[in-house]
Amino acid sequence: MNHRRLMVWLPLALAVLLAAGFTVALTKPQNNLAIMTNQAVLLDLPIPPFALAEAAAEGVDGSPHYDQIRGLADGDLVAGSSGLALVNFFASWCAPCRIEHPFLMRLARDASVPLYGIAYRDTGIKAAAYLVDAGNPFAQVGLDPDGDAALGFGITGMPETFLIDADGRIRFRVQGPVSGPQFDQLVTIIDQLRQEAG
Amino acid sequence: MHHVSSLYRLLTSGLMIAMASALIITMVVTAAPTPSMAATIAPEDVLADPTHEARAQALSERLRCVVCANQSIADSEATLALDMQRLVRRRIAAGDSDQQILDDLIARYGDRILLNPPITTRTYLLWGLPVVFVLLVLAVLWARRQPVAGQAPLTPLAIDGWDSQAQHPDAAQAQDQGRDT
Repeated sequence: MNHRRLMVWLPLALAVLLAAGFTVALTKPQNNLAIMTNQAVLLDLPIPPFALAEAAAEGVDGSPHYDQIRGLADGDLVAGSSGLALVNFFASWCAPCRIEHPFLMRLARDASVPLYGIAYRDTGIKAAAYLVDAGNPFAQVGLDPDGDAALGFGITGMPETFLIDADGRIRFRVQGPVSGPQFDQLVTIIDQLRQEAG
Repeated sequence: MHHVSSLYRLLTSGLMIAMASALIITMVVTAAPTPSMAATIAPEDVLADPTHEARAQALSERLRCVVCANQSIADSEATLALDMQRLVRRRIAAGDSDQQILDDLIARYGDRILLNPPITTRTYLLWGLPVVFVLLVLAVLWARRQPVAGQAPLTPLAIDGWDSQAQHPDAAQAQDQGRDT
């Protein structure tokens, strides 16, 4: 092949090669997940320390629902018989949280994985009313009115759910609502880890 | 055929020069830190110690707002960005070093929390390719440079390994077109 023909075809060949590379990288399913979420980040790390207020701390006592939110600290998390617990960030103002709520209620029926709730940037009154209205799947709930606990968990949006083992390490996280395929995936992973723990 | 390929060569070299200059301009412009457009935090959150506040501002400009489109938390008014700015200030006030604060945020949010990705085995291509590309363009330009007076001209025919110019009359024309630009 002479030099001039090479000059014509080489850039074209390079462009095709590059396009092929991009196509492969972009359509790889696990790659997609890694780009769109930061799933791998925080995995197997211990949960950050936090101490969250109870609803009564807002000083508006008398509401019948205040007992729904009794405060939550990292030391309060107790793994169920499965050796696991779930921490769920939610808010009364968050629409996807309402979508995932029935799925959380289903998880709560399996008492071996207790759920703990963190009400992100919410007031005690609103968060408590939300839990009374939609049902309360949580063993314990705390308020994170300034979003400080959320930063410790690397939160980027509501809702987000963390699967914690008995050592207080994050074993899995779901960014966005736990519904549909995410729910099935979470249940599968809970079963896997439950068997691992024996 | 011949006209097409010489035009193609003109186009590609023009394109390469354009891309290289665009690249160099971008590198120069982005290398200089862009000053924050406006302070987004509440006045009461500003640290009393000006050196502390300057550190907080500098750190905030290096941190990506995770809910915005490529904005630093210093520039963003998103709730999460403001929360993170307060976190940075709280930790500076508590006596933590810049590196401690960055390390903690990277542990929680990953490398993407930094606007400038760190140089790791996963990003050496990202950082290295522009340099390689510029060198490549320089090498091509050097290879195609004007002959110095007194030097024997390097003709495309010599590259192609043909015996003489006479065998291919179009070649002289191609050479002229190539050199005129």
